Amino acid sequence: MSLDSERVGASFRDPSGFIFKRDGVLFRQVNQVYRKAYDRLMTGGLYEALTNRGMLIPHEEADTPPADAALAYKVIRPQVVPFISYPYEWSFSQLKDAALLTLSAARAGLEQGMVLKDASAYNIQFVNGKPVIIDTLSFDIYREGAPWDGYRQFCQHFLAPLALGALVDIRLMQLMRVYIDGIPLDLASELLPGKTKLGLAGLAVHIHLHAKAQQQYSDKQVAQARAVTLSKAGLLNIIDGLEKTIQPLKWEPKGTEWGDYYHCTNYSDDALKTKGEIVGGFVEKAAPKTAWDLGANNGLFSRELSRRGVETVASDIDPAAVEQDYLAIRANDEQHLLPLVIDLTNPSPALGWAHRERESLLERGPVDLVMALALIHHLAISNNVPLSSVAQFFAAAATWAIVEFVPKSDSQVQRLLATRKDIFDQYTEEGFEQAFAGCFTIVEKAPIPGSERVLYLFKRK
Amino acid sequence: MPIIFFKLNNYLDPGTGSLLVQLLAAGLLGGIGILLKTFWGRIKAFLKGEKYVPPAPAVEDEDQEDSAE
Repeated sequence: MSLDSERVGASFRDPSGFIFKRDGVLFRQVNQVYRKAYDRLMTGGLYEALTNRGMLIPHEEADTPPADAALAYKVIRPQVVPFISYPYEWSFSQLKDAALLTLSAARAGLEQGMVLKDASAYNIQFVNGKPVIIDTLSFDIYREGAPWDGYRQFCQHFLAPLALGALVDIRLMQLMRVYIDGIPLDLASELLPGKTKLGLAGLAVHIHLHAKAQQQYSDKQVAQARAVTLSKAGLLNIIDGLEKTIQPLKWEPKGTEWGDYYHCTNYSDDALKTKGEIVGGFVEKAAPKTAWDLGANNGLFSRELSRRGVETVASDIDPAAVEQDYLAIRANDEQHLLPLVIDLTNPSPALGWAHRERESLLERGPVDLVMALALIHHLAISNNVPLSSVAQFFAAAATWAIVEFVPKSDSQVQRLLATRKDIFDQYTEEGFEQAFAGCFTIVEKAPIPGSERVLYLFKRK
Repeated sequence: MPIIFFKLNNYLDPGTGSLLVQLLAAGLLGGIGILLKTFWGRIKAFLKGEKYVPPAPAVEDEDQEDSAE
Protein backbone atom coordinates (compact mmCIF):
# COMPACT_ATOMS: atom_id res chain seq x y z
CA MET A 1 0.00 0.00 0.00
CA SER A 2 1.45 3.35 -0.84
CA LEU A 3 0.00 5.90 1.49
CA ASP A 4 1.58 9.27 1.48
CA SER A 5 2.98 9.77 4.95
CA GLU A 6 5.69 12.14 6.03
CA ARG A 7 7.79 11.45 9.08
CA VAL A 8 8.13 14.52 11.28
CA GLY A 9 11.71 15.80 11.32
CA ALA A 10 12.13 16.07 15.07
CA SER A 11 10.94 12.54 15.70
CA PHE A 12 13.89 10.21 15.25
CA ARG A 13 15.80 9.80 18.50
CA ASP A 14 13.65 7.36 20.43
CA PRO A 15 13.27 3.92 18.79
CA SER A 16 9.97 3.44 20.67
CA GLY A 17 8.10 5.15 17.84
CA PHE A 18 7.77 8.30 15.81
CA ILE A 19 5.38 10.98 14.61
CA PHE A 20 4.14 11.11 11.05
CA LYS A 21 1.72 13.21 9.10
CA ARG A 22 -0.82 11.82 6.66
CA ASP A 23 -3.33 14.00 4.83
CA GLY A 24 -2.57 16.77 7.27
CA VAL A 25 -3.37 14.62 10.31
CA LEU A 26 -0.73 13.89 12.92
CA PHE A 27 -0.24 10.29 14.01
CA ARG A 28 2.24 8.55 16.24
CA GLN A 29 3.46 5.07 15.37
CA VAL A 30 4.17 2.90 18.40
CA ASN A 31 6.86 0.35 17.59
CA GLN A 32 6.98 -3.30 18.62
CA VAL A 33 9.97 -2.63 20.88
CA TYR A 34 7.73 -0.40 22.99
CA ARG A 35 4.81 -2.85 23.05
CA LYS A 36 5.14 -3.93 26.70
CA ALA A 37 5.63 -0.41 27.97
CA TYR A 38 2.71 0.92 25.91
CA ASP A 39 0.37 -1.77 27.18
CA ARG A 40 1.49 -1.12 30.73
CA LEU A 41 0.94 2.63 30.28
CA MET A 42 -2.57 2.11 28.93
CA THR A 43 -3.78 -0.69 31.20
CA GLY A 44 -1.80 -0.09 34.39
CA GLY A 45 -3.59 3.15 35.29
CA LEU A 46 -0.85 5.65 34.48
CA TYR A 47 -2.35 6.94 31.22
CA GLU A 48 -5.64 7.54 32.97
CA ALA A 49 -4.04 9.17 35.99
CA LEU A 50 -1.97 11.53 33.84
CA THR A 51 -4.62 12.47 31.29
CA ASN A 52 -7.23 13.04 34.01
CA ARG A 53 -4.90 15.54 35.61
CA GLY A 54 -4.13 17.19 32.27
CA MET A 55 -0.47 16.13 32.45
CA LEU A 56 -0.31 13.95 29.33
CA ILE A 57 -1.87 14.61 25.94
CA PRO A 58 -4.80 12.24 25.37
CA HIS A 59 -4.89 10.07 22.26
CA GLU A 60 -7.05 7.58 20.44
CA GLU A 61 -5.86 4.40 18.80
CA ALA A 62 -6.26 4.82 15.05
CA ASP A 63 -7.12 2.36 12.29
CA THR A 64 -4.85 4.01 9.76
CA PRO A 65 -1.99 1.80 8.48
CA PRO A 66 1.41 2.45 10.08
CA ALA A 67 4.04 4.47 8.26
CA ASP A 68 6.65 1.76 8.83
CA ALA A 69 4.79 -1.53 9.01
CA ALA A 70 7.88 -3.63 9.71
CA LEU A 71 8.37 -1.98 13.08
CA ALA A 72 4.83 -1.12 14.01
CA TYR A 73 2.77 -2.22 16.95
CA LYS A 74 0.06 0.42 16.89
CA VAL A 75 -0.83 3.80 15.46
CA ILE A 76 -2.31 6.42 17.75
CA ARG A 77 -3.79 9.83 17.01
CA PRO A 78 -2.88 12.34 19.72
CA GLN A 79 -5.06 15.35 20.48
CA VAL A 80 -3.90 18.25 18.33
CA VAL A 81 -1.66 20.91 19.88
CA PRO A 82 -2.69 24.26 18.35
CA PHE A 83 0.85 25.65 18.14
CA ILE A 84 4.19 23.97 18.77
CA SER A 85 6.46 26.23 20.81
CA TYR A 86 9.99 25.71 22.08
CA PRO A 87 11.63 26.30 25.46
CA TYR A 88 13.74 29.17 24.09
CA GLU A 89 10.45 30.95 23.40
CA TRP A 90 9.02 30.51 26.88
CA SER A 91 9.02 32.98 29.70
CA PHE A 92 10.55 32.06 33.04
CA SER A 93 7.37 30.74 34.64
CA GLN A 94 6.45 28.76 31.55
CA LEU A 95 9.75 26.87 31.74
CA LYS A 96 9.41 26.51 35.50
CA ASP A 97 5.89 25.07 35.22
CA ALA A 98 7.10 22.71 32.49
CA ALA A 99 9.94 21.58 34.79
CA LEU A 100 7.62 20.96 37.72
CA LEU A 101 5.21 19.06 35.45
CA THR A 102 8.07 16.83 34.30
CA LEU A 103 8.98 16.02 37.90
CA SER A 104 5.35 15.36 38.89
CA ALA A 105 4.98 13.04 35.92
CA ALA A 106 8.17 11.20 36.88
CA ARG A 107 6.81 10.72 40.39
CA ALA A 108 3.37 9.63 39.14
CA GLY A 109 5.11 7.15 36.84
CA LEU A 110 7.08 5.56 39.66
CA GLU A 111 3.88 5.13 41.66
CA GLN A 112 2.58 2.99 38.80
CA GLY A 113 5.79 1.09 38.18
CA MET A 114 6.94 3.21 35.25
CA VAL A 115 9.83 5.56 34.80
CA LEU A 116 10.00 8.77 32.76
CA LYS A 117 12.84 7.69 30.51
CA ASP A 118 13.68 11.13 29.18
CA ALA A 119 13.18 14.65 30.46
CA SER A 120 13.29 16.77 27.34
CA ALA A 121 11.75 20.23 27.56
CA TYR A 122 10.70 19.70 23.93
CA ASN A 123 8.31 16.99 25.11
CA ILE A 124 6.23 19.69 26.77
CA GLN A 125 3.75 21.92 24.97
CA PHE A 126 1.26 24.48 26.16
CA VAL A 127 -2.39 23.77 25.50
CA ASN A 128 -5.00 26.22 26.77
CA GLY A 129 -2.47 27.94 28.95
CA LYS A 130 -1.15 24.83 30.67
CA PRO A 131 1.91 22.66 30.09
CA VAL A 132 1.27 19.09 28.99
CA ILE A 133 3.53 16.18 28.02
CA ILE A 134 3.03 15.41 24.34
CA ASP A 135 5.31 12.39 24.03
CA THR A 136 3.09 9.42 24.84
CA LEU A 137 6.11 7.11 24.59
CA SER A 138 8.08 8.79 27.37
CA PHE A 139 7.39 6.14 30.00
CA ASP A 140 9.19 2.85 30.31
CA ILE A 141 8.67 -0.05 32.64
CA TYR A 142 10.55 0.63 35.85
CA ARG A 143 13.22 -1.91 36.76
CA GLU A 144 14.15 -2.05 40.41
CA GLY A 145 17.57 -0.55 40.95
CA ALA A 146 17.75 1.41 37.71
CA PRO A 147 18.93 5.02 37.96
CA TRP A 148 17.11 7.80 36.09
CA ASP A 149 18.32 8.05 32.50
CA GLY A 150 16.67 11.45 32.12
CA TYR A 151 18.50 13.07 35.03
CA ARG A 152 21.22 14.75 33.01
CA GLN A 153 18.72 15.91 30.39
CA PHE A 154 16.50 17.36 33.09
CA CYS A 155 19.38 19.38 34.53
CA GLN A 156 20.39 20.65 31.09
CA HIS A 157 16.90 21.40 29.75
CA PHE A 158 15.29 22.83 32.87
CA LEU A 159 17.45 23.39 35.90
CA ALA A 160 20.35 25.17 34.17
CA PRO A 161 18.26 27.73 32.23
CA LEU A 162 16.01 28.40 35.21
CA ALA A 163 18.93 28.90 37.58
CA LEU A 164 20.71 31.17 35.10
CA GLY A 165 17.51 33.14 34.42
CA ALA A 166 16.74 33.59 38.10
CA LEU A 167 20.23 34.15 39.49
CA VAL A 168 22.26 35.71 36.68
CA ASP A 169 20.31 37.21 33.77
CA ILE A 170 16.99 36.28 32.20
CA ARG A 171 18.52 36.59 28.73
CA LEU A 172 20.71 33.56 29.42
CA MET A 173 17.62 31.39 28.97
CA GLN A 174 18.19 32.08 25.27
CA LEU A 175 21.18 29.71 25.43
CA MET A 176 18.58 26.99 24.93
CA ARG A 177 18.41 28.17 21.34
CA VAL A 178 22.14 27.59 20.87
CA TYR A 179 22.36 24.21 22.60
CA ILE A 180 19.70 21.85 21.31
CA ASP A 181 20.13 19.36 24.14
CA GLY A 182 20.02 21.96 26.88
CA ILE A 183 22.66 24.18 28.44
CA PRO A 184 25.94 22.33 29.06
CA LEU A 185 26.37 22.00 32.80
CA ASP A 186 29.98 23.11 32.83
CA LEU A 187 28.90 26.35 31.17
CA ALA A 188 26.05 26.82 33.65
CA SER A 189 28.45 26.09 36.49
CA GLU A 190 30.87 28.71 35.24
CA LEU A 191 28.18 31.38 34.88
CA LEU A 192 26.32 30.84 38.16
CA PRO A 193 27.29 32.86 41.25
CA GLY A 194 29.93 31.27 43.47
CA LYS A 195 27.59 31.03 46.44
CA THR A 196 25.53 28.40 44.62
CA LYS A 197 28.51 26.05 44.92
CA LEU A 198 28.04 25.77 48.66
CA GLY A 199 26.09 22.99 50.29
CA LEU A 200 25.40 19.33 49.78
CA ALA A 201 22.17 19.71 47.86
CA GLY A 202 20.47 21.91 45.29
CA LEU A 203 22.51 23.64 42.60
CA ALA A 204 25.75 22.65 44.33
CA VAL A 205 25.03 19.02 43.49
CA HIS A 206 22.76 19.08 40.43
CA ILE A 207 24.80 21.67 38.52
CA HIS A 208 28.27 22.19 39.98
CA LEU A 209 29.19 18.72 41.18
CA HIS A 210 27.31 17.25 38.25
CA ALA A 211 29.43 19.30 35.84
CA LYS A 212 32.64 18.25 37.58
CA ALA A 213 31.66 14.59 37.55
CA GLN A 214 30.83 14.81 33.85
CA GLN A 215 34.24 16.25 33.12
CA GLN A 216 35.95 13.68 35.29
CA TYR A 217 34.21 10.80 33.56
CA SER A 218 33.92 12.09 30.02
CA ASP A 219 35.05 9.40 27.58
CA LYS A 220 35.45 6.93 30.40
CA GLN A 221 33.33 3.97 31.08
CA VAL A 222 33.69 3.06 34.68
CA ALA A 223 32.62 -0.34 35.88
CA GLN A 224 31.22 1.23 39.06
CA ALA A 225 28.99 3.51 37.05
CA ARG A 226 27.46 0.72 35.09
CA ALA A 227 26.75 -1.06 38.31
CA VAL A 228 25.02 1.95 39.86
CA THR A 229 21.87 0.84 41.55
CA LEU A 230 19.33 3.19 43.05
CA SER A 231 16.37 2.19 45.15
CA LYS A 232 12.99 3.60 44.23
CA ALA A 233 13.19 5.68 47.42
CA GLY A 234 16.48 7.07 46.16
CA LEU A 235 14.89 8.03 42.83
CA LEU A 236 12.05 9.76 44.65
CA ASN A 237 14.65 11.61 46.72
CA ILE A 238 16.24 12.92 43.52
CA ILE A 239 12.86 14.09 42.23
CA ASP A 240 12.10 15.77 45.57
CA GLY A 241 15.54 17.35 45.61
CA LEU A 242 15.10 18.77 42.10
CA GLU A 243 11.69 20.10 43.02
CA LYS A 244 13.08 21.79 46.11
CA THR A 245 15.85 23.30 44.01
CA ILE A 246 13.47 24.65 41.39
CA GLN A 247 10.63 25.88 43.61
CA PRO A 248 12.53 28.79 45.17
CA LEU A 249 13.96 29.97 41.82
CA LYS A 250 12.08 33.14 40.98
CA TRP A 251 12.38 35.89 38.47
CA GLU A 252 10.76 39.21 39.08
CA PRO A 253 11.15 41.56 36.17
CA LYS A 254 12.22 45.04 37.06
CA GLY A 255 13.11 47.97 34.91
CA THR A 256 12.73 46.10 31.63
CA GLU A 257 11.90 47.93 28.47
CA TRP A 258 8.14 47.81 28.22
CA GLY A 259 7.01 45.92 31.29
CA ASP A 260 4.83 48.86 32.22
CA TYR A 261 4.14 49.95 28.70
CA TYR A 262 0.43 50.37 29.08
CA HIS A 263 0.96 52.85 31.89
CA CYS A 264 2.96 55.15 29.68
CA THR A 265 1.36 54.79 26.27
CA ASN A 266 -0.14 57.53 24.22
CA TYR A 267 -3.59 56.30 25.02
CA SER A 268 -6.12 57.40 27.56
CA ASP A 269 -8.30 54.70 29.09
CA ASP A 270 -11.10 55.72 26.73
CA ALA A 271 -8.88 55.51 23.67
CA LEU A 272 -7.63 52.07 24.76
CA LYS A 273 -11.22 50.92 25.05
CA THR A 274 -12.10 52.30 21.62
CA LYS A 275 -8.99 50.71 20.12
CA GLY A 276 -10.08 47.37 21.59
CA GLU A 277 -13.55 47.78 20.06
CA ILE A 278 -12.16 48.57 16.61
CA VAL A 279 -9.80 45.59 16.81
CA GLY A 280 -12.68 43.36 17.96
CA GLY A 281 -14.76 44.51 15.00
CA PHE A 282 -11.94 43.76 12.57
CA VAL A 283 -11.47 40.31 14.11
CA GLU A 284 -15.14 39.54 13.63
CA LYS A 285 -14.96 40.64 10.02
CA ALA A 286 -11.96 38.43 9.26
CA ALA A 287 -13.32 35.53 11.36
CA PRO A 288 -9.94 33.80 11.79
CA LYS A 289 -9.46 30.45 13.50
CA THR A 290 -5.77 31.03 14.19
CA ALA A 291 -3.80 34.20 14.76
CA TRP A 292 -0.43 35.62 15.73
CA ASP A 293 -0.39 38.83 17.70
CA LEU A 294 3.11 40.13 17.01
CA GLY A 295 4.57 42.58 19.50
CA ALA A 296 1.68 41.71 21.79
CA ASN A 297 3.21 43.15 24.97
CA ASN A 298 1.26 41.63 27.89
CA GLY A 299 -1.56 40.56 25.61
CA LEU A 300 -4.14 43.27 26.28
CA PHE A 301 -5.39 43.17 22.68
CA SER A 302 -4.58 39.48 22.12
CA ARG A 303 -7.67 38.84 24.22
CA GLU A 304 -9.80 40.36 21.45
CA LEU A 305 -8.78 37.23 19.54
CA SER A 306 -8.57 34.54 22.21
CA ARG A 307 -11.84 35.40 23.91
CA ARG A 308 -13.54 34.87 20.57
CA GLY A 309 -12.08 31.36 20.50
CA VAL A 310 -9.27 32.18 18.05
CA GLU A 311 -6.14 30.08 18.76
CA THR A 312 -3.74 32.93 19.39
CA VAL A 313 0.00 33.19 19.83
CA ALA A 314 0.95 36.45 21.52
CA SER A 315 4.62 37.11 20.99
CA ASP A 316 6.81 39.86 22.31
CA ILE A 317 10.52 40.57 22.55
CA ASP A 318 10.23 41.52 26.21
CA PRO A 319 10.42 38.54 28.60
CA ALA A 320 8.80 40.64 31.33
CA ALA A 321 5.70 41.35 29.25
CA VAL A 322 5.40 37.69 28.25
CA GLU A 323 5.85 36.62 31.85
CA GLN A 324 3.07 39.00 32.91
CA ASP A 325 0.84 37.66 30.15
CA TYR A 326 1.48 34.02 31.14
CA LEU A 327 0.87 34.67 34.83
CA ALA A 328 -2.47 36.31 34.00
CA ILE A 329 -3.47 33.39 31.76
CA ARG A 330 -2.55 30.96 34.52
CA ALA A 331 -4.35 32.92 37.26
CA ASN A 332 -7.56 33.33 35.26
CA ASP A 333 -7.46 29.93 33.59
CA GLU A 334 -7.66 31.58 30.16
CA GLN A 335 -8.02 29.52 27.00
CA HIS A 336 -6.73 29.79 23.42
CA LEU A 337 -3.82 32.08 24.25
CA LEU A 338 -0.11 31.24 24.16
CA PRO A 339 2.38 33.99 25.05
CA LEU A 340 5.93 33.58 23.71
CA VAL A 341 9.19 35.50 23.83
CA ILE A 342 10.11 36.17 20.20
CA ASP A 343 12.33 38.89 18.78
CA LEU A 344 10.63 39.63 15.47
CA THR A 345 13.78 41.17 14.04
CA ASN A 346 15.42 37.78 14.53
CA PRO A 347 12.64 35.21 14.89
CA SER A 348 13.24 31.59 15.88
CA PRO A 349 15.07 29.81 13.05
CA ALA A 350 14.90 26.18 11.92
CA LEU A 351 17.27 24.25 14.16
CA GLY A 352 18.77 20.87 14.83
CA TRP A 353 19.71 17.98 12.61
CA ALA A 354 19.22 18.84 8.93
CA HIS A 355 17.37 21.99 10.11
CA ARG A 356 14.38 19.76 10.71
CA GLU A 357 14.16 19.26 14.46
CA ARG A 358 12.78 22.65 15.43
CA GLU A 359 10.77 24.64 12.95
CA SER A 360 11.24 28.30 12.26
CA LEU A 361 8.44 30.66 13.23
CA LEU A 362 7.16 30.94 9.65
CA GLU A 363 7.28 27.17 9.13
CA ARG A 364 4.84 26.91 12.01
CA GLY A 365 2.41 29.08 10.09
CA PRO A 366 0.65 30.25 8.13
CA VAL A 367 -2.19 31.46 10.29
CA ASP A 368 -5.42 33.16 9.30
CA LEU A 369 -4.55 36.54 10.77
CA VAL A 370 -1.55 38.50 12.01
CA MET A 371 -1.98 41.47 14.24
CA ALA A 372 0.67 44.14 14.67
CA LEU A 373 -0.39 46.94 16.97
CA ALA A 374 2.07 49.68 17.82
CA LEU A 375 4.78 47.60 16.20
CA ILE A 376 5.44 49.05 12.76
CA HIS A 377 7.56 51.94 14.03
CA HIS A 378 9.81 49.56 15.95
CA LEU A 379 10.43 47.47 12.85
CA ALA A 380 10.67 50.32 10.37
CA ILE A 381 12.51 52.91 12.43
CA SER A 382 14.44 51.08 15.17
CA ASN A 383 15.40 48.22 12.87
CA ASN A 384 15.36 49.99 9.47
CA VAL A 385 13.14 47.34 7.86
CA PRO A 386 11.53 48.73 4.68
CA LEU A 387 7.73 48.88 5.03
CA SER A 388 7.31 46.75 1.90
CA SER A 389 9.38 44.05 3.55
CA VAL A 390 7.19 44.18 6.66
CA ALA A 391 4.17 43.72 4.39
CA GLN A 392 5.81 40.73 2.67
CA PHE A 393 6.54 39.09 5.99
CA PHE A 394 2.95 39.53 7.15
CA ALA A 395 1.67 38.20 3.81
CA ALA A 396 3.85 35.11 4.23
CA ALA A 397 2.39 34.59 7.69
CA ALA A 398 -1.32 35.15 7.17
CA THR A 399 -4.28 35.94 4.91
CA TRP A 400 -5.50 38.81 7.06
CA ALA A 401 -3.59 41.52 8.85
CA ILE A 402 -4.63 44.05 11.44
CA VAL A 403 -1.97 46.72 11.50
CA GLU A 404 -1.68 49.95 13.43
CA PHE A 405 0.15 52.78 11.75
CA VAL A 406 1.91 55.09 14.16
CA PRO A 407 2.84 58.36 12.40
CA LYS A 408 6.09 60.22 12.83
CA SER A 409 4.39 62.97 14.81
CA ASP A 410 3.52 60.45 17.52
CA SER A 411 5.66 60.95 20.60
CA GLN A 412 6.62 57.25 20.68
CA VAL A 413 8.12 57.61 17.22
CA GLN A 414 9.71 60.92 18.15
CA ARG A 415 11.40 59.09 21.02
CA LEU A 416 12.86 56.55 18.59
CA LEU A 417 14.05 59.35 16.30
CA ALA A 418 15.43 61.53 19.10
CA THR A 419 18.91 60.04 18.97
CA ARG A 420 19.30 59.36 15.28
CA LYS A 421 19.06 60.91 11.86
CA ASP A 422 15.63 60.74 10.29
CA ILE A 423 16.28 58.79 7.09
CA PHE A 424 12.70 57.61 6.79
CA ASP A 425 11.12 59.73 4.07
CA GLN A 426 8.73 56.96 3.14
CA TYR A 427 7.43 56.65 6.67
CA THR A 428 4.10 58.40 6.15
CA GLU A 429 0.52 57.19 6.13
CA GLU A 430 0.59 57.36 2.35
CA GLY A 431 3.94 55.59 2.08
CA PHE A 432 2.68 52.91 4.46
CA GLU A 433 -0.46 52.27 2.39
CA GLN A 434 1.60 52.15 -0.79
CA ALA A 435 4.06 49.68 0.70
CA PHE A 436 1.28 47.38 1.85
CA ALA A 437 -0.57 47.68 -1.48
CA GLY A 438 2.05 45.33 -2.95
CA CYS A 439 0.63 42.36 -1.00
CA PHE A 440 -2.62 43.50 0.59
CA THR A 441 -5.89 45.30 -0.10
CA ILE A 442 -7.31 47.64 2.51
CA VAL A 443 -10.61 46.22 3.71
CA GLU A 444 -11.17 48.84 6.36
CA LYS A 445 -9.36 51.79 7.85
CA ALA A 446 -10.20 53.41 11.18
CA PRO A 447 -8.49 56.35 12.86
CA ILE A 448 -8.25 55.89 16.60
CA PRO A 449 -10.03 58.80 18.27
CA GLY A 450 -7.90 60.81 20.64
CA SER A 451 -4.67 59.84 18.86
CA GLU A 452 -2.94 60.29 15.54
CA ARG A 453 -2.81 56.59 14.89
CA VAL A 454 -4.74 54.59 12.31
CA LEU A 455 -5.88 50.95 12.38
CA TYR A 456 -6.07 48.94 9.14
CA LEU A 457 -7.71 45.67 8.28
CA PHE A 458 -5.88 44.19 5.31
CA LYS A 459 -6.61 41.14 3.20
CA ARG A 460 -3.88 39.43 1.22
CA LYS A 461 -4.11 39.80 -2.57
CA MET B 1 20.30 -6.35 45.50
CA PRO B 2 21.68 -7.98 42.37
CA ILE B 3 24.10 -5.97 40.32
CA ILE B 4 22.46 -4.83 37.11
CA PHE B 5 24.45 -3.50 34.24
CA PHE B 6 22.59 -0.71 32.52
CA LYS B 7 23.11 -0.79 28.87
CA LEU B 8 19.71 -2.13 28.17
CA ASN B 9 17.00 -0.33 26.29
CA ASN B 10 17.78 3.29 27.13
CA TYR B 11 18.17 5.46 24.06
CA LEU B 12 19.53 8.40 26.03
CA ASP B 13 23.08 8.13 27.23
CA PRO B 14 22.65 8.83 30.92
CA GLY B 15 26.36 9.77 31.22
CA THR B 16 28.74 8.15 33.67
CA GLY B 17 29.25 11.28 35.76
CA SER B 18 25.50 11.89 35.87
CA LEU B 19 24.92 8.37 37.16
CA LEU B 20 27.35 8.86 40.01
CA VAL B 21 25.92 12.25 40.96
CA GLN B 22 22.50 10.61 41.13
CA LEU B 23 23.77 8.44 43.95
CA LEU B 24 24.72 11.50 45.90
CA ALA B 25 21.51 13.34 45.00
CA ALA B 26 19.54 10.31 46.11
CA GLY B 27 21.03 10.75 49.55
CA LEU B 28 22.71 7.39 49.50
CA LEU B 29 25.96 7.00 51.34
CA GLY B 30 27.39 4.85 48.56
CA GLY B 31 27.38 7.90 46.33
CA ILE B 32 29.60 9.88 48.65
CA GLY B 33 32.00 6.95 48.74
CA ILE B 34 32.23 6.72 44.97
CA LEU B 35 32.67 10.45 44.58
CA LEU B 36 35.31 10.55 47.29
CA LYS B 37 37.10 7.83 45.44
CA THR B 38 36.72 9.79 42.24
CA PHE B 39 38.28 12.88 43.66
CA TRP B 40 40.66 11.02 45.99
CA GLY B 41 43.56 11.50 43.59
CA ARG B 42 43.00 15.23 43.63
CA ILE B 43 42.54 15.38 47.39
CA LYS B 44 45.75 13.41 47.97
CA ALA B 45 47.66 15.60 45.57
CA PHE B 46 46.28 18.72 47.24
CA LEU B 47 47.27 17.54 50.73
CA LYS B 48 50.73 16.65 49.56
CA GLY B 49 51.03 19.98 47.75
CA GLU B 50 51.64 18.26 44.42
CA LYS B 51 50.15 18.83 41.00
CA TYR B 52 47.36 16.40 40.19
CA VAL B 53 48.03 14.09 37.27
CA PRO B 54 44.89 12.30 36.08
CA PRO B 55 45.27 8.53 35.70
CA ALA B 56 45.22 7.00 32.25
CA PRO B 57 41.70 5.96 31.28
CA ALA B 58 40.99 2.33 32.05
CA VAL B 59 40.49 0.12 29.02
CA GLU B 60 37.18 -1.63 29.36
CA ASP B 61 36.24 -4.94 27.96
CA GLU B 62 33.10 -4.22 25.91
CA ASP B 63 31.96 -7.82 26.07
CA GLN B 64 31.20 -7.56 29.74
CA GLU B 65 28.22 -5.39 29.17
CA ASP B 66 25.52 -7.76 28.19
CA SER B 67 26.78 -10.79 30.03
CA ALA B 68 25.96 -9.56 33.46
CA GLU B 69 22.29 -10.39 33.75
